[in-house]
Amino acid sequence: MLENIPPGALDMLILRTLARKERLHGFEIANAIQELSENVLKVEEGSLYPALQRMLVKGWISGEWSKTSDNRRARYYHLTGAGRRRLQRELEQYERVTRAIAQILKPA
Amino acid sequence: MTLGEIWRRLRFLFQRDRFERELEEEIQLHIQLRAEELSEPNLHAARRKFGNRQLAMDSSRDEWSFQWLESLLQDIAYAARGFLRTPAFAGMVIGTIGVALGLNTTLFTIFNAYVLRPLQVRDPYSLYRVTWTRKSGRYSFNSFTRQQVEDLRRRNTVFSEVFAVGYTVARIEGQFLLGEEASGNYFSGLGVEAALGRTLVPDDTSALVISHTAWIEKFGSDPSLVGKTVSVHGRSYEIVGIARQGFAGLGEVQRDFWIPLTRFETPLDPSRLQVFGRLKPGVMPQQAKSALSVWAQRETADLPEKLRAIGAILQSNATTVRLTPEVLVAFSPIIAAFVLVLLIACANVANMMLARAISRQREIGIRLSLGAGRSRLVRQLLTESVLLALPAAAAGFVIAQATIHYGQVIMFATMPLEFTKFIRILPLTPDARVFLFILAAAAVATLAFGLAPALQATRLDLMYVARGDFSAEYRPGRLRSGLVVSQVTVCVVLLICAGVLLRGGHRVEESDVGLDIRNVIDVRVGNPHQLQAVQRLSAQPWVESLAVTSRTPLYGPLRTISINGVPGARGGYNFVSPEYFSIFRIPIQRGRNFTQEEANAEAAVAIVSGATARRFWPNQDAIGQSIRITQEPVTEPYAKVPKFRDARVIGIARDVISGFIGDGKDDTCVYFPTGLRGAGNDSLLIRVKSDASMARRALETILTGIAPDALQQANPMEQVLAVQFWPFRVAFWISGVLAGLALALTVSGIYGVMSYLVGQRTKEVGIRMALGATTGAVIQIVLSQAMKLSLCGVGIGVALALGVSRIFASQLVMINTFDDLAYIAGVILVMMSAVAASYFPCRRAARVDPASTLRCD
Repeated sequence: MLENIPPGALDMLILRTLARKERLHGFEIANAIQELSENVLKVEEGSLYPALQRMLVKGWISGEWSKTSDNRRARYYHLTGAGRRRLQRELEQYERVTRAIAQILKPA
Repeated sequence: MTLGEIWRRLRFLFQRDRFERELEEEIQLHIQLRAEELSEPNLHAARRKFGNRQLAMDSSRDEWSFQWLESLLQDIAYAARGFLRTPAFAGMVIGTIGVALGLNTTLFTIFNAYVLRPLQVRDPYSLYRVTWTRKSGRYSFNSFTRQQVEDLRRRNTVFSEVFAVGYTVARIEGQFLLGEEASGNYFSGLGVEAALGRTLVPDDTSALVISHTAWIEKFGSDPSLVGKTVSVHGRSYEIVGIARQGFAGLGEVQRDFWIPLTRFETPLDPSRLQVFGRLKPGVMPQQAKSALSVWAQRETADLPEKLRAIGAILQSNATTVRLTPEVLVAFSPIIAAFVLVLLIACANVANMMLARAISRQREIGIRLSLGAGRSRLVRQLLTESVLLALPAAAAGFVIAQATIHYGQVIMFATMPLEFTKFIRILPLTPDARVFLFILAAAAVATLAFGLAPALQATRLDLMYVARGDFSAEYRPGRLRSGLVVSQVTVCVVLLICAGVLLRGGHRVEESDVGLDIRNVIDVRVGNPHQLQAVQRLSAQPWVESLAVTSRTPLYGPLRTISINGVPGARGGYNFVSPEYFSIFRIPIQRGRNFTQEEANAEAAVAIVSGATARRFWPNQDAIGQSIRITQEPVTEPYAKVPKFRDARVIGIARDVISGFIGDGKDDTCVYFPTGLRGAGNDSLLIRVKSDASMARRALETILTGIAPDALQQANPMEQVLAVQFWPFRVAFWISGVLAGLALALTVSGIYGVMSYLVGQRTKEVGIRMALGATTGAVIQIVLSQAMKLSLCGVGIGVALALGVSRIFASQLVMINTFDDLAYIAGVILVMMSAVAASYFPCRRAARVDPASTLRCD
């Protein structure tokens, strides 16, 4: 059974995904996250969209309409400067926390 | 929230449809792609995998929306529903605050027009008024001679432009107008164009420009006025244009016309000019001041020492009245009175809001226990306040406009008729500053009457709420009592003020001036026509007698000269013809009147007032004594001064009031003789046999027959005296209206609080009655509570009034600021009102049925 992602982590995953690829549309982001997390974490696909909207509001990502390879209209998202900085901060923070946890859990 | 974020959210707000469409399309694509990807294309499975589509849409929308905006809209709708349920409450609040805001806005509109609104000329902030101080410390702004103006224009380095004006009055086309002689650069330099025709140009010598206001109000916007030829001080001028709207000179008094300042010296204006300069860009006022000081000292170096300049004075002339500490101090009692009324209106409304919040405690308690944040509830209660304040501000604005309009109507209606012609009021139109003021005042009022109740009402203990007990622990007693006490305080202060002014005014009106002024008319005739006027008028059957004087009494203090060489012993003096004493029925108590020969020769004799005799020759007979007049440089160029050094006292006249009534009988008054043909006399006094108004019309016909501009003014002396009463009446009415309003607010405040307290103590009263308390005892409980609060307020109020009196006692010599009767009356009125306000709550308390209250729980 695949587990649901906590909402804050979803933001980070989306940012991370978009940082690796130039630009993706919603469906691609959903798939990429699943691949990235090797199917351990699973996005409830519907919850991806409010998250994307939230990040649009915050100005971390921006989206524009364009054609897919098979000529379908889709909204492609890409990371903005603010988004890149945000990701950097999130990652640093994440690292700090995990290091601290690892420190605590380290066998004596 | 960053700026960019707000911008994006706002864009969303206006493109909601497009947003929905795009999101819909995106989700559609997602599901389609998913369906295609599944091993066997299955839309259903793809939909399931996507989850709740509506939820995704809703949450997306939530991400964009302004949370606070939506909760605000909720609050507004909620509050509006509440007010519609209790329209009387909402109406009371809006009415109370509206009236108070309206009064304050009226005051601010006046303040704004005079003190804050810049003059409507080019770059008003670079305009400065110039003069210099003399050794005596005294200075006057109209003290420049024409040569000095010319010299300043040529030699100064700080002004880019120098404007000079001399004030004058004239009758033009039958209208009494206030005017200015203006230097040639006046209109062009100030950037004032013409609304019709043209303005004055430097080469003009006999052109005349009328102000826009005068054109509308005095001449009914008659376009044919331009081009007419009129006579001013015996010279003819052509009306060349109407100045543009909004301009009426640079001084406090609005001007009606302008004529060129020429080299001719008109008899009315012997070289007393006011000078305004426009500072060059980059020159600081301080710099300019020192440069001008040097100029003024050099300019006056040849004069006697007393008249030499010691320093220049430079005052910004950007607004009609310069905002200085002195102006603020002069305005402050009025401002304070108005603000106090607003304050007690707020206190009243705060009380009402508090009572309302308390009656809603159950609702508030339930919302708190359901998890509503306190801040959210406070916000909700404040939203209600704002919702009441906005219509109150609108009502206040309407009230202010009405007050201003009717205030002016009443002012002109109550003012002595002959003097309305001197009064010019700046247009009191509301502008952005006025709107801003009323909004700010409404906002402050909202906080004052809304915040405290909101904080109080939401300070509920969830413990009690959970028990379903919404009243036991909650007693906002101190706040309510404080509000009532402060209301009573303000009320007492304002009532005492009104009382003091009323009685002071009465005393002034009843004081005996010692002059019989009935049927006496003060006639001002242009100098060249004076003799002819005397001849024609004395031939009229309705003229009983006729006198001339160099200074008409009751227009302000007499001119003074130093007498008998005693330093500081200055005494008032006047030149009068022998008929002066009979016209005003002033008895010569000892000695004799001037003879016609003495009068015509302006001989070196004098009649002194009784007080003068006692002052200079105590325990001696003044008659036959000699008055020594120290010759001194002429400080007032057009003042008539004695030409002799010594004058023999030939008579003693009874004491009279020649100056301001408030100053009392003249402490010194020396009459010197002058004849009907004497030069330099200001006015003709005529006593008429019949009705003064008929005589006034006849007078006008005769004098206009001599020359169209011969008659300058004709003022019945009764009206001259009435003008002195008028400010007292105005002050009384304003303070009376404020005090009345304060009293009404206080009564309703006390009533509200007492009703609430009775309601709260119903149970207690019931128990007391069951235990045998009489109705009288119950009434006493309630009444004593009301009395305690009122007495507190009265005590503070009287103390405050005494403090204020001490400050103003020195400035208002004519009024006894410690008038005990006014104090007592004010206190009694407030106390009686407090009793009356508590009457109904008392009666309710007395009617409590012990059986039913005890059954209640």
